[in-house]
Amino acid sequence: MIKKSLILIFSLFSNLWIWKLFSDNFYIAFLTILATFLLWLTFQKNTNKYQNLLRVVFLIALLLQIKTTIMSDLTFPKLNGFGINFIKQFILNLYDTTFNKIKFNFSEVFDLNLFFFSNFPRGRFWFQEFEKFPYGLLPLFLIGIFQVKKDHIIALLTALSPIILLSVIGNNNPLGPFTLFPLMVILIYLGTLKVIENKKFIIPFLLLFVFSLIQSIAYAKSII
Amino acid sequence: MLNQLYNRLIKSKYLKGTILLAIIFLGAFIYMFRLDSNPPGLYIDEAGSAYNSYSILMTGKDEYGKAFPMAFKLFGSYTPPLYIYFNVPIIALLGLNVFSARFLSVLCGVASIYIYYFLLKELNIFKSKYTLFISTLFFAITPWLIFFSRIGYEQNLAFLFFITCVLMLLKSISNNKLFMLSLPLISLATYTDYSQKIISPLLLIAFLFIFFKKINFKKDIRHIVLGFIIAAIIQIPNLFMATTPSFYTKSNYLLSNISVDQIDKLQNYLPYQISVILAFTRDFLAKYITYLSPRSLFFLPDPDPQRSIPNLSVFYSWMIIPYLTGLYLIIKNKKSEISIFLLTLFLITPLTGALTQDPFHIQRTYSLLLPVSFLIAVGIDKMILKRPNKFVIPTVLLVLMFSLIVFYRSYFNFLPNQKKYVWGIQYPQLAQYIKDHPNQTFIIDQTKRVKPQDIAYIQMAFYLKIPPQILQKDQDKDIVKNYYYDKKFNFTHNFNNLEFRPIEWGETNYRKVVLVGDTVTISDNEVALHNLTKVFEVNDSDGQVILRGFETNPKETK
Repeated sequence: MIKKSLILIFSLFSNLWIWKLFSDNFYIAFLTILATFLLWLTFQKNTNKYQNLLRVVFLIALLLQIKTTIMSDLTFPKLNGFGINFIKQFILNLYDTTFNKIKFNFSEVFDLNLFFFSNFPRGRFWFQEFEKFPYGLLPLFLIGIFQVKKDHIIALLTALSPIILLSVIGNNNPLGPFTLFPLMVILIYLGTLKVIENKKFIIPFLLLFVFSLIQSIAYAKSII
Repeated sequence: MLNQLYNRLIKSKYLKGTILLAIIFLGAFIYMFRLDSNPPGLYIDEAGSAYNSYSILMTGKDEYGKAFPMAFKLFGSYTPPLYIYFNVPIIALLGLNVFSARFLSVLCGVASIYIYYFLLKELNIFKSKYTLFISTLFFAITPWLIFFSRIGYEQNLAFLFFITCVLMLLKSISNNKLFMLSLPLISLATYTDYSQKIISPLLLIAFLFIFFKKINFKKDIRHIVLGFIIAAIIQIPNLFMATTPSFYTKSNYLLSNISVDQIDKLQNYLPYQISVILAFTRDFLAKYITYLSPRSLFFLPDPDPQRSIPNLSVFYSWMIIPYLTGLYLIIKNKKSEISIFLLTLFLITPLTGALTQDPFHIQRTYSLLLPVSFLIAVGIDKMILKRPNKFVIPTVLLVLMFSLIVFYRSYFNFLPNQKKYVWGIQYPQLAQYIKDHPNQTFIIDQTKRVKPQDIAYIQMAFYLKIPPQILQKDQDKDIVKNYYYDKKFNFTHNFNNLEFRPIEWGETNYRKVVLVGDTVTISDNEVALHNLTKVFEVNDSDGQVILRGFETNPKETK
């Protein structure tokens, strides 16, 4: 259990995102850590109590995600007129504006580059992208995906559910899509657990992590 | 009812062929529909390729006067030569026009559908009887394949070679003699486009690594040695080229400006050498992941205006579901050799894009179409198995209809309206005006830093069917001498009644000519100052002037 807890702490605090959350909004940072911890508990012991708690915390986090996101006209179609005109515009706008915007938002928050490469090379020129996870954690994240077991599916879906909201409201948020932070951390945690089973992988992963962390810090500082 | 019909069809070998033929016909129809008018105009690379085929046909030399080059200099790119040579008989048969410039790509697209079907069959990993046909059908209508099947330069030929090499290699597992044939084919593929110079050898290495034990080298040693010798002989031109700068024209794309900028940031923390390695690693990894990312494959188009279809990515958005399913299943089943081979293909094909500067370059990584289509097929197979049979055909028809509507809208409605200028719609109209006024002299403005779509001499040579001897006469004679060594390229030319160069306003006082340029080079102020008379104008769909022509009035100039 101590080993697992240490790995959880490593997964939680080995990234720049959580420190940015702490520096910008302490309450959101605290809530995000709470959500991550509950998700981890649900992964350890899949009880209804933990699941319900997890849902409540995620609901609050989702509300905060909406509140901190800057929504623009690009998110929803602009509709003018009444009656038939309104319906006509709504239908015409449904595919071109609404559906395309949702597709665009979804693809952005579903993209690994947003989380591990501060959205490079397809970042938004109108938005100050920031470093989240060092790319040295990417292999652990990918390995983590394949460690998910059937019992984890419901908790995993809960943690993945913010994607639906983010697809609608978009990702124009100075704190980033922080409701997805718990999922990212838990998958990195699962990957780390798997990797340290084989001792010969530890040193290469550690080296990659340290260098990529220094790199992330250097890039993040140059933005400040 | 549809399912009963399909089940009856699927049992008959003859009718299986009919279904495949129907898919191929559908593909051929989509690739050829309005081929000469959409994409509108002709992109400079298409015009360059087609005109050089024409030049080879008429004189045995390229536009510079070099006899049968090993790589075509064109605009300093030293394009691998096969497409241009293969296009010669088509130009001979159909003449020099937009349709003939693109027709070889159509043929390659159609052939790719056929080979893809047999590749799926060869993989022998599908459980549903529907998968082979459904996956081939969706492969045929993939935006990536359609896009390059309608464009007159080397990409689709390169893809056809690649997919054929993969099929031959897989078939050689059961018939070792085919391995002998696949070696020269892989060697030849390196002359189809730049990315195949890297991908084809990697394909061979990966195949040998995975299936080495399955090929009986001892039994067929003579054939295999012969194959290696032929492949080596085919490589002689490449070996010669490797000693010249022409072989390395793309090498300056290797490290992006962003990496250089990032090295500076890192140097405050780490030694220079480590900073270079880390900056390059991150730059490379970020781009590599982008090529495999659903965002790039299913949602966003290539950022380049010429290489993109408005509102459409390289695959349809719905394909993300079978893609992720297929990827998951293949990784889960990583012990099977076929799964390892598919994964290897998936991992090596984006390399050529990730090593260069652009964020997502659909041309450099066109081979990625194959492994992603395989993954989609694996996903489709899994999804079909979960559904009752009676839903399969109606669902496929519905998805097919939806996909085609989305494609039609983006490609046939938006593209010709939004991308006219990039595709050079201005040149057919200019050529027509020049044809109608053979006694006038034209000065076509070529400013110092022209964009590809502004390079006019090759477009005019194409549309006016200028005899290649005339263009060759206009070229600097030293170019042929230093053909593979001197990468410089000149876009100012002077042939027939056409002069391609920057406008010198002083000569409007004494020469009666037609000046051709855009609103920046021939501004309204210049028009008023030099008393010019407008003779024609080409507009974009939003009414903006792309190109206009003015006659000078030397006597009347104040």
